[in-house]
Amino acid sequence: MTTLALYPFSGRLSSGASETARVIADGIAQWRSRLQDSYALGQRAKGSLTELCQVFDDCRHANWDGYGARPVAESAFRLASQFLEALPLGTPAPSVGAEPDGHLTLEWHRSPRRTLSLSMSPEGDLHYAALLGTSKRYGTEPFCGEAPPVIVDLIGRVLTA
Amino acid sequence: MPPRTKLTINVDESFQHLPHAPIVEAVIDIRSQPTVAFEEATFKPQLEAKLGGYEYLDSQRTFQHEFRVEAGKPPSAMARDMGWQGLRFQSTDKKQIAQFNRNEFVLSRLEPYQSWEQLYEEGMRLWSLYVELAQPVEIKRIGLRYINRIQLPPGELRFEKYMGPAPAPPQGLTLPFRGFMHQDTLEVTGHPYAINVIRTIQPSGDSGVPGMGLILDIDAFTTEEFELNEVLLKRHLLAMRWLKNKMFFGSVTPMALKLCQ
Repeated sequence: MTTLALYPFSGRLSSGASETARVIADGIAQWRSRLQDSYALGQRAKGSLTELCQVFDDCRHANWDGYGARPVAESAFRLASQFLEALPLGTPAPSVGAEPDGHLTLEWHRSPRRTLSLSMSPEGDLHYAALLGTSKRYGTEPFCGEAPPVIVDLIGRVLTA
Repeated sequence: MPPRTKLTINVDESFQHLPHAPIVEAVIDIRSQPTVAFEEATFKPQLEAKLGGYEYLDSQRTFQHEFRVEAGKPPSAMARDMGWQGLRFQSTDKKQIAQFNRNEFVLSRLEPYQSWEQLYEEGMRLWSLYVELAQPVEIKRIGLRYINRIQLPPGELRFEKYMGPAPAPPQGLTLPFRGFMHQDTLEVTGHPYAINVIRTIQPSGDSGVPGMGLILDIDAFTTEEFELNEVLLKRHLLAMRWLKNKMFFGSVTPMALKLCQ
């Protein structure tokens, strides 16, 4: 059985303006950056962010699919990359894609009956739909810099059950 | 593992007053989504007309920096402008910084910290301006963050004298610390709150004073979104203030408190 190590801290704190707040933010950024480079823990080392950049480059212009698709907005790309970096360390890498409405998609797929699909809107809404055996879960969560617990939980359930 | 029973929050509990509280920054951070067009050209003059006692500091834009290294090609760097994010204003005494961002209102009070009442009243005054201009309908997250910096005497490396839990070297390898960063996230059982706590040190060179600064950064925040409601907002802030006080007084030693008298 695979065990996921899911840690909830995203590195995103309430904002600060002082010199000390900057020292803390730099320290966390260095710490997160080092871990993001780990093949065991980080999304960057796993190639998710590179894949996201590639999808964005391919889909940033209107009609990218030849059927009149809307372009993927920069804000959707930015939010999706922030979301990937906010995922708990050790989260397996998703597959990245785009939809004709200009949303970016992230998918964790274990089998046809155990799969989770997320769609990131340019406004920061995370629409999700999961199949967990015979049950279904779907909904929308705002993304404010931290990975919503319901989505972290679904990733774990899709991949470890 | 502590039991997962509902925590009793007592906002009427009083805490020891510290004449020289080590707070270097206190922050109220409210995240929401504007329902009207949020454009610099219209937002800035509207805000300036209503903001008394503050001067314009800067306009915030987000840039994404990308470095590419490919075999056979020289390394290239690219900065991509991700757009205007908001405005920052500074009080005339430079002790308060207010950020009016696309998805976030932030008030920072720098040292010397005055009082909760002053922070809360000013925060609500500026938040009401943000609400008037950005017209959010719900609050996605509230954060109440207090960054404390306890100035250690020069040469002092025994952190456990001032803060608990303090980092300890491994058994059988007693070496002095040159740095540490310890982060915890605590769930507030039975309530829609969590707390990020960071313990670290600020080297003396960074602050301009001799001796290290022991940092205790307490960031209480909501974990659920709720409709815009001033009564509820106040209730959350008071509960989070109690949480940060409990966290602070439960983390420092009597010796640290003595330094704050």
